[in-house]
Formats: sequence, C-alpha cells, structure tokens
Amino acid sequence: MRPYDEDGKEVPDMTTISSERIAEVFVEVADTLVDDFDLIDLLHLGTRRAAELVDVAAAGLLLADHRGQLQFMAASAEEARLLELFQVQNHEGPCQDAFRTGQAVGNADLTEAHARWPVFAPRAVSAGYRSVHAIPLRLRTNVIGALNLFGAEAGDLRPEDSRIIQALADVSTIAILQERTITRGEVLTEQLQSALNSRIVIEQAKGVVAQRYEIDIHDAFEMLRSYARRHNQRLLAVATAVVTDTVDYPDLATG
Amino acid sequence: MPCSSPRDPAWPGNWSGTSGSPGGDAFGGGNLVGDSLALVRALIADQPAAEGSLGVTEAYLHRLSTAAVQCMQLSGAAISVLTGSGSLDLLIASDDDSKEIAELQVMLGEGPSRDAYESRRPVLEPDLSDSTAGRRWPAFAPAARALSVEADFALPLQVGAARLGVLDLYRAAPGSLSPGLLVLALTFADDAVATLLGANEHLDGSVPDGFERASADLSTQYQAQGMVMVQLGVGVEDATARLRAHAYAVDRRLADVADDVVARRLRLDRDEPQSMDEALR
Repeated sequence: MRPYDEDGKEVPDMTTISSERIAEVFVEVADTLVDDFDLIDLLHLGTRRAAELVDVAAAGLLLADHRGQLQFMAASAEEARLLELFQVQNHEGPCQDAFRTGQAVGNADLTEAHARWPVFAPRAVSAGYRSVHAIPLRLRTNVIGALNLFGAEAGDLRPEDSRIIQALADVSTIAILQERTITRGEVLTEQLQSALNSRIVIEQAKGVVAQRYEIDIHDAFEMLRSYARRHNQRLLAVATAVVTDTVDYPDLATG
Repeated sequence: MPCSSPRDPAWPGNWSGTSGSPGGDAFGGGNLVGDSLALVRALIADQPAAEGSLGVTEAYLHRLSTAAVQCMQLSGAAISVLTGSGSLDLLIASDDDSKEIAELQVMLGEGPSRDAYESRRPVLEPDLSDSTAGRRWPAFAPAARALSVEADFALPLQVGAARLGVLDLYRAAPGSLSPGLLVLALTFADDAVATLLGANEHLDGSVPDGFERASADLSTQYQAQGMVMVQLGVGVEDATARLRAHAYAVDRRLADVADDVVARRLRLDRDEPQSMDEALR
C-alpha cells in the first residue's frame, strides 16, 4: 500500500532511500518555511513525505490542546477510517503513550497489541494496518503532540528511518511554533491555540464545500487545497473566506 | 480549596511549563480533560447568584467571571460578544471598574480584546506600563492603568471561524500568567464558549452532551457546522446554534446528529428551532 503522490511525481522504490531523496524532501519542506507560510499545508506535506520516505501506508500529526487533549492536525490522506484512528487516541493508543511519556512508541505487530490498546488496536487492524509508530513532537522538555505512522505490514522502523522521521517531527515542531527561541510557556500556548483553531476552520470549510458542490467530505479538502495552490493563496485564508464570506466566497469549482 | 491547585507545580496545567515533565505523565495524560473543566465548573458553582435580573446565559457568565477573578487573583473580568451589527459589545463584567475598562476598549476601538478578536488568538499583555503596550494601545493602556489594571489577558471565544466574543482578564499586578493559570484561563474561555453556544448542560441540566466528551468526533461536528451553513444559508455561528437546538429538540447527542448530517442522512431545514432558547420553550 504505497502512498500516491498527488503532485504527479513518480513514487520511487522505497526499499532504500537515497540520500538525494532525503535532501530533496528537506529542501522542499525548508522552502515552505518562508514568512507567512501556511501551517496546515506544511504539515500536510510533512505527513505525506513522512509516509513516502519510510514507506508506510499513512502518517498523521496530533497536537495537544491546553487541556492535554490530542487533536488532529494533518494527515497524509484525509480518509475517514484514518481520522477515526487519530480521534480514538484521546483514550488510548501509541500517540497517547508517546505524548504522555515523551518517548517514541514502536509496534512490531498490531494484531498482537490488543492487550496494550484494547480499543485502538482492533480498529487499526480492521482499517487495514498491521504496524504503528508514534514519535513525540518535542520542544525541549515540553511534548506538544505526536507524529503517527501506520504500516500495512508488521515490522519496526529501521534505525535510519527512525532518524529521518525524528528529523521530520522536529521540523514540524519548529513550523508549529514558528519560533526557534520560544522561552515563555505562554507563547507556546498561543501558537498551539492558533494552530488548533486553524484546523477547526479547515473542517468547517470542508463541510461548506462538500454541501455546496455536493461532493464527498474528504474530496472537499483536496478541492480547497488545489484552489489555494492554483491561486497561490494560503489554505487557511481560502478556508476562512469559504466559511466567513457567505456572499463573496471563492468559487472553488471554476475559479 | 480547588483554587490553590493551579499554583501547585504538579497541577495538570503545568505540563506546558518548564517543570521538565513531558506530556504530563505525572498526571495521567488523558484525564487532564476532565480535571481542568471540572475544576472550573466547580469554582463557578460555588459563586453566589448574580444580583439583578440577568438572563440564564448572562447570569452563568457573570458567575464565571467572578469565579475567574477569585481564583486567579484578578482585579476583574469581562466578556464582550459580537453584536448583530458586527461590533464587539460588553455582555457582562465582574464589577464596575471592569465594566468601564471593557467599555473603554469598545469606545476607543483599541485594546487587547479587540486585537484578540481580530487576530483570532490570545493576546496576553503582562505589563501595560511597558513601552510596547503603550505604542500598541496609546489611549487604552494609560486609561486602564488609571483604573489600576496593569495586566490584561484577552482570550478569543471562538470555534474555528465562528467568533463569538472575547474573555478579558484584568489584574492589578503586572506579570505573566503562570502556565497553570493560563490553562485555567483557557478553560474558563472554553466554558464561556460552551455557554454562549447553548451547550452548557449546567445551565438547565438537560442539554445533550458532546462538547467536552473526549471520545466525540469533533472533526465531524465542525464539518456538520459547515454543511448546515449552506443548507440554511446562515453564518457559521448560527449553523452551530441550529445544530445544537436540533439535537436538543429531538433529544439526541450532538455527535450523532453531526454524524447524520455529514453522512447526508439528515438535512436541517428552515423550520427548525433557531436557538436553544426556542428549543427550550
């Protein structure tokens, strides 16, 4: 189950990752970290590249809100069965464990993880996944969330893959906090609040688009994203306009 | 008193501080949700009823503001809400001075609450005597200080693109909120949002739950808000209220109603109750 590349690039054979490919991905991600970059778009790209680089079926990113509740921020694919797996991790699951302990969680075989995660494991298996990994997003001593990888086959990440994923998790953390020198806890909280609210705006916009164009809720995300790309606008700006401007909203279908 | 908890370094809210305890492992992670909201609700429940003839929502929000003042050692608190004409207006204040400061922000058209509203993010000003604050709010900063307010923490009351208002917390002493108090402040804001949306079951004891349930699929609820906007041709704030009113009217959980909307098993029409007040009648 290899992730598709929606930009039309050929997905290379992932049995070994070339150092060129890794460099390419980090340049691509770094290129996105310009002034006024779109956080949701960047995290979406990050999760897709994470899945692609280490050849897993799906990747997603969860952030903790001020009450310590894990909220969905971005995924390599906006599929219902995948989003449910993120949601359930407010109770149990690898992200919950990684967030709570600050340690990466690896799992060789989900079919044998029922004792550890009695709700999460069977759901993940029935969604077609066999392995799961969670890497904490850390800023010094704070853990702000976790990056979650789902594999179609059982097996641990290779050590070199783990390092790549850790690096992508670190870049995501920097992007979320937008500042490398945050020293005050309150700035961290402000940034997280803002990021989490942005994601809610995206969900509301997906609803508007799905209803307006009579399309599937999960296709609505792609419609928003491709409009933002075509018009060189931030995804959040397009989503906000779609939700708040009921008169002069952008026409995503023809525009 | 539960009030002392936020100053305790082991208090759940301090996970985001510098205590060195990652992810709040010392306090059982997921249990945090219940903790700070339950604490805030208990503090509000302890407050005496407001004087005068306030509506149910205003009366609850007044008690919320006095609870925040009492346990966060503030000088006052105020809640401003968006009016039909699109401007911020004072809804309730914990005391007369806070009322005056909040009204000043409206009158002057500047201040932390206006900035929080416009930027859709918290504006935390620990020191109004600071030159940056003076440049940012040349009229408001000195006026607030004249009323003995040295710090102003303004938290937007919002759900995604739905902007309901701002919670302003005023303090006589300058200085940042501790991480624990900041979590508490944000939780007071959460409860104010729930109340303004008619989602606070504490007000009448019977509204279907869903707001703070950790297991609820919140993404679906936000998507349903967007879908109902188009179905009814209303703004996101109204769509949110209509969904809640419908859930109440048919006695179902909001999460289930949202599921049905997103799965296109349910379409709201214009005859539905338009607000909780109407649904309660």
